[in-house]
Amino acid sequence: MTRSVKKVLTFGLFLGVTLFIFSLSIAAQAPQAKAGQQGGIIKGTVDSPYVRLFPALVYIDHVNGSFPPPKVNPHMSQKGLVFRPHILPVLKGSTVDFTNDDTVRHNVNSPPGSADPFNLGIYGPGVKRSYKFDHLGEDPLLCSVHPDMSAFVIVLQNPYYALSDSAGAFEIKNVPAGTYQLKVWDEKIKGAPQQVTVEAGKTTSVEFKGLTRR
Amino acid sequence: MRRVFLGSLVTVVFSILFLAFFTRNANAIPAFARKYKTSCVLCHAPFPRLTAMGEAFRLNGYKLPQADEIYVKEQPVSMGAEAYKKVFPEAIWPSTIPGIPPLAVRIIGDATFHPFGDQTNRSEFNFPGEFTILGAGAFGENFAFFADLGFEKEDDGSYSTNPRAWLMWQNLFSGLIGGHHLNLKAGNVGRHTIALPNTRNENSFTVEDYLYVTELDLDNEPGFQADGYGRHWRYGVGIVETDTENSNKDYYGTFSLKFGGLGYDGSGGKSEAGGVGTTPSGYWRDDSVLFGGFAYRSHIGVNADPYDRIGGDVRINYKDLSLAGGYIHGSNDQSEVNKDIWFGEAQYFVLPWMVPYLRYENLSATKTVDDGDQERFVVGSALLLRANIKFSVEGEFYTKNEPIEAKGGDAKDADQIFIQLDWAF
Repeated sequence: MTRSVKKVLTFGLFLGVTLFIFSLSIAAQAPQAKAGQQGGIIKGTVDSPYVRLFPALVYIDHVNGSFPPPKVNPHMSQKGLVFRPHILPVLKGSTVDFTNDDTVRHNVNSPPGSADPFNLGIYGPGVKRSYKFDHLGEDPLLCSVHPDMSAFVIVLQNPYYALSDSAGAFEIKNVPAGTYQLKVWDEKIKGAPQQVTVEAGKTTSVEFKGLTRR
Repeated sequence: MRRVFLGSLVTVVFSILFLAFFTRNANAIPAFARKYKTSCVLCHAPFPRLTAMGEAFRLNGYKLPQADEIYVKEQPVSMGAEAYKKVFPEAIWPSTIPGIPPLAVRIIGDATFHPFGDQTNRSEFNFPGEFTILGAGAFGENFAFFADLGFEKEDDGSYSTNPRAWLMWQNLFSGLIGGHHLNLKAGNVGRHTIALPNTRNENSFTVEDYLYVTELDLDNEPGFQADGYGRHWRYGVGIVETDTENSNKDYYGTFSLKFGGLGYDGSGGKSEAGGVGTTPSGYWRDDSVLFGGFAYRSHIGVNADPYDRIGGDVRINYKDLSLAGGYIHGSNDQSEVNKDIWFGEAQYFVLPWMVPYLRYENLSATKTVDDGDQERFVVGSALLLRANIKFSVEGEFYTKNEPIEAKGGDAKDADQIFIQLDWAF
């Protein structure tokens, strides 16, 4: 075999491997792009003066499929005698890390009647304790040491949710096409679920009205 | 705009003057709830009794221990940038004042019933029995202040006033002897100090005062006090004036030791494991044992009758129960009246808002006319309708009351039942 033939074969092998890797990466990206193209947007408002101070969580009750919890644990801090964030939506099965970032002792508990009643005990500054949320629903968070502290973990089945802004506006992106029950949660107000139909590549408008005090 | 500014300035100046000149003693201070955007129960359980954190907050000059600034929600007004510390004495040492005037109001009213005896009026409505405007706070890191003006209803229906105020300079020589070990206070001092340390009237939430306070003329007075504290100890010594007719002064000293629970400096505190099916401890819990002692020497004193007071007390806090006891001896030189008073009390948190209590008090006196032996039970319950609204029902029942019996009466003649409303905002 001459040197020139070897060069041609080596170049051909290199080209073939490169094309193979390129085609694999294209193939891997293809379903994602397809899903993105298939998804729609739910956009709307929660019509209540309460949302100016108390943001509403708008979420799809159930979407077919399984949605594993994130590999990085969601985090809630206790800092300055305040839970941060105030509302933490998480996927079912998520483990939330609670950190005491103050200089005083804290407790985290969710009282009886919550979706996931628990008590992490009382612990000092710098300590982290964690809890896995296995039940769908609302978990009010309390600190027995500081009764004014309040927050909420909302355990959801799927990642299609959004918090409203101070005007009550929300937007849920990349929702798979289909018909769903859209729900609204707020610590102060309640409203009836709405049925929405999402079409791929389109925006569906929704308005929650007639919300009443919880 | 200028008119609005002047109006605000006048209001603030007036408020400060009002507090400075017309103040009286009181306890729960809701201005702090506003400053930190937190509940009264962070410091009181139930008010005005201080929690362990409330005691640490008070001792620290109305600042949360260790890192107060991270908790403040109402930012103070600067009285000079921090960097001026570097150019001192070529500048005034920087400080702060509260962002909004730290004012609060406390109102106490009650209905009092006299079930026995020959009183023509067996029931009295005292609304308001006490009305108090108060303020307190910090001027930067090392100064704290307290001021209040109270109006108290007298037997004839008029209202008396009793203004009180003090200023405290904290952390003196902290570089040499450590922080919190030496503070100086000037003004109406002795509040929380001229009394048994762990069973003091200022820290009680019952309607009726401790017998030892009313029988032994113990109250705060104008003067100076040095005090300090560490994690397990605190002390106070003072010089005060009770008689303005001469230059003689009164002296007092007090100390307290605490084992377990949250330290006086806000450090420590018990941790809990928690777990499924468990309930976290309430905000009032502070498993601890406290010992205290106190001595007071008056060189002239009330009615030109020099007197001594000396005593000790103990308090045991375990879970929802608080047990306390104290003994105090009082001797009056000229009238030769000696009084020995001891007592025991129990308080129990049935619920976070319901705290029944029982107290037994016994007074032995060397003279039987006017200063005879007394023995009584005080039983009742505090009910927190809200964190800042307290409803109390209390009975005061005498089993021995020689001052009344010496006049031909019956011990029960002095029995009283109170229904009290106490609220602050």
